[in-house]
Amino acid sequence: METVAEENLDLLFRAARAAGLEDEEAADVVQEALLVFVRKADTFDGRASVKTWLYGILLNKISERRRHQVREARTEEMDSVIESRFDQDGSWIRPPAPADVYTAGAQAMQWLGDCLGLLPERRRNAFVLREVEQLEVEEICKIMDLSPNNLGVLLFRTRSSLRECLEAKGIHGSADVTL
Amino acid sequence: MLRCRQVIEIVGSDMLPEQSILLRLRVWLHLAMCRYCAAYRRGLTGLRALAARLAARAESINPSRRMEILLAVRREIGK
Repeated sequence: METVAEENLDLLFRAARAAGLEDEEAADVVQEALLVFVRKADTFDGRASVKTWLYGILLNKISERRRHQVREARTEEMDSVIESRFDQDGSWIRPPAPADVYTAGAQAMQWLGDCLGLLPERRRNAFVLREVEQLEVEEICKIMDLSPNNLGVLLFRTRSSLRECLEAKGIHGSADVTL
Repeated sequence: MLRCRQVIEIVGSDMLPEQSILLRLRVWLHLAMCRYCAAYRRGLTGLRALAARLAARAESINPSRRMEILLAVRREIGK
């Protein structure tokens, strides 16, 4: 168990940081997650990998930390922004900007961090696990208790929301953007 | 005929590999002909590259804090 903790500590820390926690808070939740892992190790049934299980515990700990924070689930508002780009037939009426508008430049990383911070937790977790931690769909489904279809919809909406936010920052150079 | 809205959802949801060969071909043809949907897909590639840079840039945990955590784990194991 100590080896498992040592082997996974850094990637759990990276995931906690990518989820928007500062260094000290990220270290705290990693410690909490590993202690839970040790306490519940005898309940591990082996259906998922240890890494998958650890990610699940970590996300729960992050969620507990955030419980006191008011983060409105503005998902309807975000989704309406995405849908506003299309007419009733599903054709573009407001096409996407070229990617280099928001991905080029040193500031793009900062923007991505800012935009991730604006997302509801579930969407941010899906993006972090898929794009930052590069977990497979099956693993993420186990961690987040989602079907592959549901995860697919979540990823689509998350990526589209991030594109909206990054595009606005890239085009307008605005530090204050709502999704 | 596939609509742009349908295409970007398929592409943006990572579900394309799960689709039938026919649908995959239709999506591929649509992306070849629609510069806006192709731009959307390039945007996803850009987003993925940014996320990879985020992962690569992530700082490691402070070594002393790392040691504290491992000691805490060791104490818990010993209980």
